Amino acid sequence: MTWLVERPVGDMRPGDHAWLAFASADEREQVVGTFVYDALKTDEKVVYVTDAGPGELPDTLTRRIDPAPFAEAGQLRLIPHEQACLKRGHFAPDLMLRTLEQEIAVAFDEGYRAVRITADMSWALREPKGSELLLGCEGWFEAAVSPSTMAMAICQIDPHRCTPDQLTALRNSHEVLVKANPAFDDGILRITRTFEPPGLRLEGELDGARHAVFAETLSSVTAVNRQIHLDLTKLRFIDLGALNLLAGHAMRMPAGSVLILDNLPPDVANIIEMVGWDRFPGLSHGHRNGNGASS
Amino acid sequence: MTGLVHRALMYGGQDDVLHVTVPFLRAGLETDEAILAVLPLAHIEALRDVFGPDAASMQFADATEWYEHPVRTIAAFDDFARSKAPRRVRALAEPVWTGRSPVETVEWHRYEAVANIAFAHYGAQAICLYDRHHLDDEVISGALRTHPEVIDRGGARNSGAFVEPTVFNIECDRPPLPPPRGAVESLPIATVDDLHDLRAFVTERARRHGQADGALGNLLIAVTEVATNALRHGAPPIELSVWTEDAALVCEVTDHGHWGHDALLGLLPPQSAAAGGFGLWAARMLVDVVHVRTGGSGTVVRLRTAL
Repeated sequence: MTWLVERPVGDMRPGDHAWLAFASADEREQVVGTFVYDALKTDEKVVYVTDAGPGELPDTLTRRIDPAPFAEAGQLRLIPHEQACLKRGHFAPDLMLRTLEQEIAVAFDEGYRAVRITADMSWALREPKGSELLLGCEGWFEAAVSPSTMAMAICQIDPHRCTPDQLTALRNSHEVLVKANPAFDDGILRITRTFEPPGLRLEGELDGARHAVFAETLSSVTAVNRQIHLDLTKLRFIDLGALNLLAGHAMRMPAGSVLILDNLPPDVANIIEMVGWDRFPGLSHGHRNGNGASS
Repeated sequence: MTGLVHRALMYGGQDDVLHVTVPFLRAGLETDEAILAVLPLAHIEALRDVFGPDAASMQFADATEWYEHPVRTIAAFDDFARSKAPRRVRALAEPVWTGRSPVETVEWHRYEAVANIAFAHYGAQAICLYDRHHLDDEVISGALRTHPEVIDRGGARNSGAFVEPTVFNIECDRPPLPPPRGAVESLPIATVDDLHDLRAFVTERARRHGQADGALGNLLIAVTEVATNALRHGAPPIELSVWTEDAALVCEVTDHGHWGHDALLGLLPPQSAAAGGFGLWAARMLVDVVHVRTGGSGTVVRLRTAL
């Protein structure tokens, strides 16, 4: 498998041809919504191959900004599939490529400093020879985007709609693996949304200086999911106030909800065992994976 | 509930022990109470002999392993009572007093006093054994102040010297803390953003003195908690001091506020980690001893961990 550079969407730059196999609609919204939002607010152009109208774009975008005026002004270009890449109702990679090359050229002429391109191509896999066609398209597109000083792209694929082999082959035709931006990062603590499983990854140190942002992020996740995983692999320190906050949060969750702590560092596991898991109703001990420290 | 029936048995020899405790345990077996006996091994063996197959339904524990850290010992009894609920609990307990420093002795007397409150809601009965021929007079007189009743071959009666646990606890904290005996290094703490630096400061000094990683991890959690409390409830200026004395690392947080805290704050095991008092209780669990002095001139919290 090729080694892909993992990059939060906010750190993408021209020349990035990025891959997003979204675990859930939520992850897609977070990544694509931010990708589009960042462009609109900084005078970059967006080319979005979609049959959706401006009002049907990801919530994470439309909550923050009304895309309609941008679509009207041409900064947000929504191109229906029919027009972008279908010939007689079937996927035509050459047309797709021509469309996108033309859009990049137009954006350049219009004076945009960057153009952001995105499309969900999962549907093309159901076409006859869809996988081969898409792979060919990705190869050409990679050649078009990576040397560019103004174009960047996110290819969206629903991994549940393709076979593992298709997924691997498509993934390997990209250089960048795009992720959601960290929900919080101040150099001491980083909180990142995770989507498969849904939850948060905590890295660094969590103490009283960061309880409020932790509580807020946790609430935003538990509001929409019943089973939340907290990946603590790289959590170097957690204070008792944060454990108190976690316990309180778990107790207030609706019945049947559970907070699962994955990859507990040995120090943290020791504290919880000393306190007793029974003093943390609603919290449970999840899996450990290979990159966690051994106990 | 009925409160803890908490009696001291000042025994002369093992025949005294058996004379009082055997009927006590037998009554518990008849009413299907959960029985825990934390005793020196010689008493455990004697009780096993008396009860034969019935001893299998009792839990025995070696007192020298059980009585290592007062706050953890309370938690261990609490774990036992919680795990057996709703059955009632009958316990025999013989705290270890030999080899304790004066400071440690105070903490174990405090433990006996706190037990009256900590187990009040379980409807439990406990007899604490004191070897009157081998223990210092002050240990025996302390036991009379922490147990509402004494029991002997003649039965139970009022101890006559019992002091309310909250009052006893305040008395334990009356003597001022001795001044540091080692070279003190200090760090001012102004906001929660300083907690990260505080841990770096403690880590550097603990490593320099050879503190083991596990104990250091626990100390960092405890000292962060105490400093956070000072920032939330105390008044500036707040300062951390670190020194070593008697093969222990001491971290002290001082502030100029008066906590006005509940006298038993952090001494009772909380119902859950979400409960108030959880932080200070857990901090007490994590280090060897926590001393709190709070009054008009400010609050001092001193944490000791063996090196």
